[in-house]
Amino acid sequence: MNKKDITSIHKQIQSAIKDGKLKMRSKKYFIARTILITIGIVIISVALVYLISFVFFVLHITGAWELSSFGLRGFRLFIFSLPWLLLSATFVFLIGLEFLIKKTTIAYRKPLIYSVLVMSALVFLAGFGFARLPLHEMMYQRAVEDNTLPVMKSFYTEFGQRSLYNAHPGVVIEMNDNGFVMNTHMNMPMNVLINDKTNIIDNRVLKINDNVMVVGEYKDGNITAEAIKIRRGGRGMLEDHPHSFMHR
Amino acid sequence: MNDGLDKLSDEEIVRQVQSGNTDMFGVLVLRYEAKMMRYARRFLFDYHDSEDVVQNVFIKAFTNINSFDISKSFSPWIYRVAHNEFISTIRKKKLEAVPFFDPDTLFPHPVAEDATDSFVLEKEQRELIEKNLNQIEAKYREPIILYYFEGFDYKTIADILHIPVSTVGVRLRRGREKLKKIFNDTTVFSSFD
Repeated sequence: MNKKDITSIHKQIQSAIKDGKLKMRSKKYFIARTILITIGIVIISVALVYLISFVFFVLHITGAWELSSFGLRGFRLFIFSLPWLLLSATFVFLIGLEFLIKKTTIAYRKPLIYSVLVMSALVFLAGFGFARLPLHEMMYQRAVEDNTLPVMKSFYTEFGQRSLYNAHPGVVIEMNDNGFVMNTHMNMPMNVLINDKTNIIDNRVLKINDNVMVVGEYKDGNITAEAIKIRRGGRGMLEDHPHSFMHR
Repeated sequence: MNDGLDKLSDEEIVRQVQSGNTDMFGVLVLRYEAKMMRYARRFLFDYHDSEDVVQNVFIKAFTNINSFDISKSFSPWIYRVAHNEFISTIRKKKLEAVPFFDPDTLFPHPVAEDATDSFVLEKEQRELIEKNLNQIEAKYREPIILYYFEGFDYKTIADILHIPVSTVGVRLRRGREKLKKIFNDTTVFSSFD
């Protein structure tokens, strides 16, 4: 390198500073930037906790949770029934959170997988804890039954009342020779046909008012039941809702 | 630069600049100009006028000087500014592909710090490496420059590049392997392992 290179850069920088062409960003700018990023982290974290708790709520209220106890087929149906849109949104938020955290901390010194795992575990646990509060149930009730939830109404009705793939939750309202009639979450009666191949999990005897999950194909107004499970009672909320996992 | 200024640490000079004595920034330019030019020429080759890029490095450093924490070392900070500027130049000019995400940063790699340091390399080796740096990708080229030519340790390189310390080891190892392949002569690199 020649001397000319060195002096020319030095001179240009010095004269630009002297002429006021080059200005320092103030400390306040960087403080504000840090505050904004911190606020971003908090907002995304809260959104993530809310989303994850809502995914738990949707799995419960649609009965998708129960499908995992139907063996391998049930597990397949459970995978199909997952709220993939919500899970995709959760994934995008997680990437955003990771990006902001890496921007403000020295988390980059450790492999990405560590911070992703720690962050996911924290928001997952917080989401699980939040799901145990009655907030979503109250919001759902206001959206579906009381019709007093203006902004979030479609969010709760769309996800809370979504149909599962080849799985049908409902309440037994009538027993007959071919099986039974159940009331679905859309308040529609549906015939459930039971045959020799139908697996009634835990071999329990079905009776009127049982809250059930029926796995089987729906055709011409009838469900040919492959498997039936009497659903567990829950936390005592939404007792009037026939579709709720909390229904006794 | 007079004797008094020579005794001042980089961090003390930055403190004075942050306090409003902006003329002192010139001292930092004089201290780091040669290093930055060397770094730019090795990393960017003939891609671009290195002088313009280095000038931008100092402009960015001055603009953002208030974000520097004087309890830390200044050298990795200005190298970080330079790294960002060089990568931005490569991307802007579409000189070579520099992905935004590197899978190497995802998982841990059990790589111990190299026992060989940059000063052990023979002059002949350094010249050979330098001449052929343009044949390896930027993500391998840069750690080799910082480790073997600028003399930084793994942790400092990790701080400059914002990657995990273990990834520094992986990139250095792969960079060396790529250079070896180019030469197809392991004897030249016997002390380079």
